[in-house]
Amino acid sequence: MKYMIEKMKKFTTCDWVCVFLMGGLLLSVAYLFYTRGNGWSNFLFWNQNDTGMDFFHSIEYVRGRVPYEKFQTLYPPLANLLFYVIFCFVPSWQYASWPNSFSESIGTRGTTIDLRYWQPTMMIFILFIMATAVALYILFQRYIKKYKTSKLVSIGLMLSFGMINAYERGNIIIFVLLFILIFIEYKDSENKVISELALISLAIAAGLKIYPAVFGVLLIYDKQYKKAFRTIIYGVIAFVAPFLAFKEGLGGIFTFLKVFAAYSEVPSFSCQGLSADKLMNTIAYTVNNIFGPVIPEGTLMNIATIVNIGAAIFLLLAGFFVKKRWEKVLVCTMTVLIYQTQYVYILIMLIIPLLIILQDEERINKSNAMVIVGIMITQVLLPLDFNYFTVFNKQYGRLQLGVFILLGYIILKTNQNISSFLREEKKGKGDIKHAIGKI
Amino acid sequence: MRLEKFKVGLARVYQVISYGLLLVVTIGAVSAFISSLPKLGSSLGEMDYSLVYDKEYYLDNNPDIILEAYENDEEIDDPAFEHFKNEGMKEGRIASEEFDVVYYRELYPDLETAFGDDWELYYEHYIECGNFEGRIATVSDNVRGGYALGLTSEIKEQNVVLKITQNVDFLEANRIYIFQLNAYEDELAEENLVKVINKDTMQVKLDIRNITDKYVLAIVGEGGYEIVSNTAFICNPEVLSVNASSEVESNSKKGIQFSEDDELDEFYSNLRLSNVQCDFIFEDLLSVSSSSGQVISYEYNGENYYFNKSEVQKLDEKFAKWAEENVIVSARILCEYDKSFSDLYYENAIASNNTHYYAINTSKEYGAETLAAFVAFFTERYNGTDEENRLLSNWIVGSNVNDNSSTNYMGEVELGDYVEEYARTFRIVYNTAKVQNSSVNVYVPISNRWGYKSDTLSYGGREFLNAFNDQIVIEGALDWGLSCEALSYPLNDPLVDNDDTITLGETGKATYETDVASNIVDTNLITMKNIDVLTRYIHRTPFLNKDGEVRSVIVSGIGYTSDSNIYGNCEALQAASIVYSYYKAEMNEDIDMYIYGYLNDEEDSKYSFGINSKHAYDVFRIMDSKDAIDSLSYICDIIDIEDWNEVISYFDASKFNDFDALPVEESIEEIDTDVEDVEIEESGNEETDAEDDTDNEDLVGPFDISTVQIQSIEDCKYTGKECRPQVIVTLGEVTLVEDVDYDLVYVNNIEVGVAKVMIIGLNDYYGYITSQFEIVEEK
Repeated sequence: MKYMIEKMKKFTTCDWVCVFLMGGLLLSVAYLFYTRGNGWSNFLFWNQNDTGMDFFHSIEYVRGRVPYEKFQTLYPPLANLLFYVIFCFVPSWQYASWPNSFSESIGTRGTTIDLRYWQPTMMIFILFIMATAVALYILFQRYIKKYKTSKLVSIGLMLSFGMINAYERGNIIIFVLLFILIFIEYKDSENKVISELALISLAIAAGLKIYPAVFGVLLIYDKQYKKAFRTIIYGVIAFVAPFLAFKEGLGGIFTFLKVFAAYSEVPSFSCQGLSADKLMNTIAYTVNNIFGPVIPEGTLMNIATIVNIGAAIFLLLAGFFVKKRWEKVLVCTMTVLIYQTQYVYILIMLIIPLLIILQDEERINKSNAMVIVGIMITQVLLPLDFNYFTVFNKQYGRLQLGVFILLGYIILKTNQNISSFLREEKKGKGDIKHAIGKI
Repeated sequence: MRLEKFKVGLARVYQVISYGLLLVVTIGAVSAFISSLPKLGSSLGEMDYSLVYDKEYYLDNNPDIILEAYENDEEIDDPAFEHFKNEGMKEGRIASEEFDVVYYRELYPDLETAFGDDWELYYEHYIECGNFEGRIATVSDNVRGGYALGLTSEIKEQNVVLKITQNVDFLEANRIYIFQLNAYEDELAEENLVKVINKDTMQVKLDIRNITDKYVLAIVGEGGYEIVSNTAFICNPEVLSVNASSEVESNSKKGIQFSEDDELDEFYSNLRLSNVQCDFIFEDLLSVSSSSGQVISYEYNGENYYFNKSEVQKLDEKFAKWAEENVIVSARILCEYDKSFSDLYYENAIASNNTHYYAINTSKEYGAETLAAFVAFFTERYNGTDEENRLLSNWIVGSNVNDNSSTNYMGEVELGDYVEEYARTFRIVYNTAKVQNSSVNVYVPISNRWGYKSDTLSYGGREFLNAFNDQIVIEGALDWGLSCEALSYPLNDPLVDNDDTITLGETGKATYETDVASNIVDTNLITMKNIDVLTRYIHRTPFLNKDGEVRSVIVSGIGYTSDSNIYGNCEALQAASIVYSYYKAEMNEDIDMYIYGYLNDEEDSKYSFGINSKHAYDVFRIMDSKDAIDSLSYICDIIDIEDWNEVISYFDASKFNDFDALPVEESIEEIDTDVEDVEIEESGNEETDAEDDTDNEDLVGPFDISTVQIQSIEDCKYTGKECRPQVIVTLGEVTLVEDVDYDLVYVNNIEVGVAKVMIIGLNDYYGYITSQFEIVEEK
């Protein structure tokens, strides 16, 4: 026992993360073994009709190159361009009889005209996932190669909770993660070409999913205004130029914005998500269940948008009051997470601050322990029922707990830094720069 | 210095906010932790299905569910609940008065965007989130409207009484202007202004001008009159009726579509029908000419209308005959294109060969007034009070009216506008007919295209019905009934139970549609296989009538082909499907009539839906008799079931006992005689008939075919396709002829193993016998 404790005292942050990830993985495998595979049915979408939903349907919607007018797709044009390239590998006899509208195409799931039904397209999907996963593994390794347990941790991250869901959905978020990691790793490179490519990398990520643009704020936090400006230029190009590849041309911008606006107007559908309004909902739900109907029903539905925007602004401002690189990245990641309810694959974004903590801080300390615990709670694959298909389930409780811990850290840290600044100010010596410099 | 102060100020504000947020996040973390713990208290543990499930309600309103599998499992306490959880939720069944999943989905587009057609998720959302969020789950939770004032209009003591309700607390006007408009008018002209009242007035009495009039309230705004209420039609026209015919007592729900071309009255009589549906073609019955002797003149609302005398006389005869036989008559109002009546059609409806029937343009005076006169004339003429008791019991307003393109053509128009037009037409028929005979029923007919999305020419039956019902409710609730043309699918496959799948298209090419006729509430098609979806749907609160009762339903236009490119000649399958579909209708308490669509094959149709001179005729004739189940037991073998309860969970043989039915033996004798007569009469080829007769000249039927001899059938080599080995059937020394004396139905005749062939008697032969043969693998 003593030996164990001594050994554990020498654990690096990466070792601890390894213990969490591998422990969860082993428990999950044991659970699957024990339930003879039935555990999957509580975790995954329940049949092949939904395999790689975001991938297969996105390919289909670019057929004819009129994705916005005809199919009201929500992906930005760069993402659609990527899918169009993939579409060029799909044999024509497979898509010849596909329906011509979004709603009809949903109805063809499980029929013989479903792209999933045919081996060539399924192989394209598998190869896409494999290629992206291998690239991610290489990048993870690059971030944490100094640790002995880096390979195990990389594998653990490849099989983490959000990742499994992202594979199953075939969502390009895994592709986006790749570009964001490249941006963060190389944006401060001394090699100007590489540094510039890192900025372009972020522009591509934003072109694929829009919300990665939030990470551009990191340049502002670091007062790299010229770089930020260039990134914006790249971003605008990455957003506008791909429209020319579609028949809708630049006019497609307005159609896209219209579709996007219409989607944003629709309130998110579940009370159990990770966005700010859903977090508030959980509080209200629990409070009402314990103390009776304290918070009137329906209240949160009406203020959801305000809550989400308010929380996002608060977090972005908080970035000015934190010091460490991983703290700033954490702030950006949390902004992405809580601004809008998304499927649980969004959790893979938390891998970014985790990797930076591992890169910057070799030992667990009071400061980073809370964040590592918070991130681990959301990342570890646990043998808990998670009926992904229903979106309403108890496992959201643990995911939200993780998010609350991370939010708590940011607020706590910001508060400490501000208090410190105000103390300095009282002494008549301080300004924000000085105070933060002292902390 | 100022900037420094601003920074300090901002920091202080931020700090205060962060203290608050820290508290919130701490509570949040505790809440999230609690909610992650399984089963901590009832509300945080398992899903509370009692919000959406009530056993008694579920069983009462879903009689078609089959619980056998759950009842046989000893570990299951509540089989109905297990059914609901495993099947009912997926099919969108309503299991509680407190939660209408269809309404819930319609009301919240955010949920529809997220969940699509996965009905189960809507229940789960309500249990887990929606209920807590205060989302509305039943119609009664919601207040209809959108107008400042609500208006209803009904007749009391020979006056129109308008009742006004305030939907908003504050109305920016003291005076309310009441307009009385003709059904076809929309303009608030001064001549239509009938009264000005104070804004607090709750009730107004007016003289009756026209039974199809509508009323609306307005205030004076900057640009003139502004409508502030819904439009209200008179919703109880029956109180003005001087005649209420007594209802015809029907023996069963069995009925047939009468086609004038058939001219086979005796066949209708022999079928012992309880119901007949016939078409009233506007242009055939109305006349633009007023030449005396050829027309019947009828004055309505001060105008003279002329009816084609010879056509009306033909109808008189039919109605007299039907009255004599106690048959309930339903009339479909149809409008074909005729240049002489060009004002009758909508301007955008351009005459086309692809269009069967046109919508009557009731937005114009001519269409509205002519339709009212037409309905008044016939309802009055056939109100059951003349010497021969000729009675028209039901009006059906159009044909497949959710199909704008071919059966109720109005020109391209969005669903909302289309329904507004149709609802007006319907109301004119309803109000006019009810004044003439308060017992008459009026039906809205929809096609079997149920769950399809609407475009500007074709509307999904469900969407259409929702919109129609809303329109009627807003303008004054009526007791409308529903007629559905529950055709089989695909049309070349007569089997009922495989309406949800297509194995072979009409062209012989494989097609890909699946689940087109499923048990799911928004199934694409309604056929007799899944007719319960429709009757379940109208059990929903929004569709109940004024007394809270389920509306009357007719299934009509049913047809099963006896000749198919899948099965070849398949008279036996046609007969089996007719029995199956009839039993479904007969046992379903919500269905009042079963109207088979075709007595004879239609010359220009590629399908042979007619039953005349076919095995189906014999079956149709007796299928509603109390002995039918025994005598038609071979039908179970054809459709591969042992008991009717296997496919119709609510099948109850005792329900047949109430019928005044034909004795089976007698009916079969009559059938055979009749069929023989008809063959000679109809074929016009006496030589052929004579040849057939020669073979059987010593035999006098009818014969039980189970007494025949079957020569052993040769084994068949497996080819992956259907095996149909030759079957030689003899009776004594006489060899019977396929398709004349018997019909063959092969079962399990593709895969290697034992296959079955059923020999079903035709004409002089009745009953059936089965034999076997083997399909062997080629070495």
